Amino acid sequence: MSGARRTGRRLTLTVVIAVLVVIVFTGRLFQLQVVQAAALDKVSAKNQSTTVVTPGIRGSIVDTNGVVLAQSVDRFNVTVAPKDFLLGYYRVPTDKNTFVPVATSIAKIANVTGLSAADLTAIVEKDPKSLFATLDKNVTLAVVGKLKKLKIPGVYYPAVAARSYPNGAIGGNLVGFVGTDGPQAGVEKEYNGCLASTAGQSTYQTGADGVRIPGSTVKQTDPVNGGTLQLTIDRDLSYQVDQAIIAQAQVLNAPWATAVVERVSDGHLVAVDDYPTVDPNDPGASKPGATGSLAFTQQYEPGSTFKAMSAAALIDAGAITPTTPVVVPSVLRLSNGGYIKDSFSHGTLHYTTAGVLENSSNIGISLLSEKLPAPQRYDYMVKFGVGQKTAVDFAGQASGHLPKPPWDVVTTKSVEFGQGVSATSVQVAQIFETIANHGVREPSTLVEKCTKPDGTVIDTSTAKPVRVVSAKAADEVRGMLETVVSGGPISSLLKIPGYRIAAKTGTAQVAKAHGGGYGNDYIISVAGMIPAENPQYVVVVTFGPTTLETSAGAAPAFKNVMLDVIDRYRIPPSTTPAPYVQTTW
Amino acid sequence: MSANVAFAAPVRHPLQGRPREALEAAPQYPRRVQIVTTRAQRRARPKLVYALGATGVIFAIFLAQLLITIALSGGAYTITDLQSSQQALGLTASSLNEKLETLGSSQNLQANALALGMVNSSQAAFLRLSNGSVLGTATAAGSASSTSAQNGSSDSVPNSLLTDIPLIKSTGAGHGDSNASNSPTNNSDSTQGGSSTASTGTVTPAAPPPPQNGDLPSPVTH
Repeated sequence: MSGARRTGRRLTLTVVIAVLVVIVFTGRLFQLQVVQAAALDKVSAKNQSTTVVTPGIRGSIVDTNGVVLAQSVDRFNVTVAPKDFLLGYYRVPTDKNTFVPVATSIAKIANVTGLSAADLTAIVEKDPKSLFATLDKNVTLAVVGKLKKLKIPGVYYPAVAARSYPNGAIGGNLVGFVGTDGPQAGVEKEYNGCLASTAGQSTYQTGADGVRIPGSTVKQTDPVNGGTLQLTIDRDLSYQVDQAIIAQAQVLNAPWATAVVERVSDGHLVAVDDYPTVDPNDPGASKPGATGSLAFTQQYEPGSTFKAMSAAALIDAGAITPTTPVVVPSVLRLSNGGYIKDSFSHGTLHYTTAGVLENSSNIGISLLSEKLPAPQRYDYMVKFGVGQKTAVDFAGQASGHLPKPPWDVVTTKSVEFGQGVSATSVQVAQIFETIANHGVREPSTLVEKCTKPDGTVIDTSTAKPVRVVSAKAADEVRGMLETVVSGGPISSLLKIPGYRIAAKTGTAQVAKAHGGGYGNDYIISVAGMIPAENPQYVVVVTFGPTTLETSAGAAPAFKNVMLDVIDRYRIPPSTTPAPYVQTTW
Repeated sequence: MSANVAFAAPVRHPLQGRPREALEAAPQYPRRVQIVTTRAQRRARPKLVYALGATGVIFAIFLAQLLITIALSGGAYTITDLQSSQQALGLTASSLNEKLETLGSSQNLQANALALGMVNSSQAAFLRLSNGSVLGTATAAGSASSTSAQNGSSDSVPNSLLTDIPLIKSTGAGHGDSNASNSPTNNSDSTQGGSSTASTGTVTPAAPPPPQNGDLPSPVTH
């Protein structure tokens, strides 16, 4: 029976061992599954899952016809890990004879990218232990293609977001640009809310080879692309206008120039051009301070173009009519001992209101303005938009300066002919738009709309039209302004055969920088509308300080811009002659 | 407990508790009677074919699962491949689009037009299709552009994207020179043609345009 006992003992031992093993295993299982479960889950998810951040695409900026002014493009950096890259490589991994030293690789890369091999070597050798070095930034897909053909292992091309402005400096002052720290100027900055994108993120599990495990849990947030911002600017017209003012600015040697073309019916700015220009592709190359739009930011004493507004206000208030007679002396002496002169010397003249505008008589408009109290004249100017920013949202936009009454003896007269008051080119365009639009000021508009990728349209303009003067007053002023082109002093420079144009010139003295009256510099401008019988477009050209004391300097550019407008918008010639307006008596 | 003992007397249960060889070693029993299993018992007995069948099915399932997994992961690779090729094609498309936009820029078009000898007209004139009248004064453009484009060197409105893009040259390298010498001649021809139009083509319409019915007017040919 000793054998049976031995068997029993053996059995007991086995059972005990088995139970112990089971206990140990269960314990371990408990530890793994319960105690450490959370931590292990985390580690496992981290090792298996891949998170991919998909950047959204910044929206485009397009002109009124959908022509792209700014768009997001794909650019790539060229990166290597110096630690591995410096070792060189074997073209055929199994063949030691195919060794390619790092110098050869660098020479090849230098050849494609156009960088110097010495610079690249310096970058790579700066920190030989490093795992990351950027050889070149923002290269195009074409360059990446060429680099990939070199088949140099260990070179990577991470994509980077970049911005391209296919039309260069056309509208460059308005569009602005995007720097490494985001949008820096123009509508790129002002309307970043429309254009900016939101990056998306997706998480899924991958196998050891990086390929997604089928059916693995995916957490996905889709990227949201930026909206498309449509400007009212017309690229083709803008280019022509830009060339016209640049050519003339260079003739005049003027440091700056602006041109504004505004559509009368809705206040859309179809061209807002500046000189000097800025090419958003290369903002560093532009003149310092040129990155904003002078048409919005540069306020200046506009001079005689304001007389159109003064006349409209006086007529609307019933103080004068187009034929109100004025006796214009050679000099108007003021009670403080000062005086007002005209830009041309003359004896006593007998002008009507129309004659005052035709010949741009400062004395004449000063005398006419005495028929309406200053506060009322001030109110009209405010309604015309003087002294307030336009409805356009534009970074750095100037509001102009309109002093509040009571005005001193000089100012009460000078504001009527645009001295002692300042405005921007866009504000001047607004005044003429109001006159052209039968007395209703349409809010100036630069941005037509923002269309989000899902099709939602965000209408960015909420301003309402304002009735400033009666249609009768506006139309009468328009008729008087036609005399400037048909018979005024520089009519020969403004006339376009077959077309009726109403315009007003401006030659404003520039105040000395440190006070002490006016210097010998002038800001010259012409503002007008075409066709005069039924205005469709308002044009304002302005040239920064020149020593030329006549708006004749601005006239050729004005005429060229008008021709461009006629050409671009197919404005047919006028079919009726301009009505006769009495200018003298 | 040996079974090698012979018994003369029959036992009640001869098979009970004895091995088979014991029976075979007792030839004195004639094998006439056999115990037959009942039908139910026969049915209950497991059959090999069933075992094989079940195992086969299990293996088939395993195999199918394996194949499905292979197909699925093959699909995953295909998806990855296609996604990367989609991305590459997308990049190519957008880079071509970018190039197109740049080539379509006003600066490039104007520079090419000027290089071809085209000039900007100084006067706008329109042909009214409904009655064939000419609106405005149709004068031919001069040999140099007289409007803004005369200063149209693209330096004035720069576009740095165009620095590496050459002007389009006429095709055929060998004829480049002759083409260049031809173009001024063509240009002057058109100028003459234009001036003759100018002398006769000035119509200032006084009446509103007659309505345009349907198609554009065109000569009737047979």
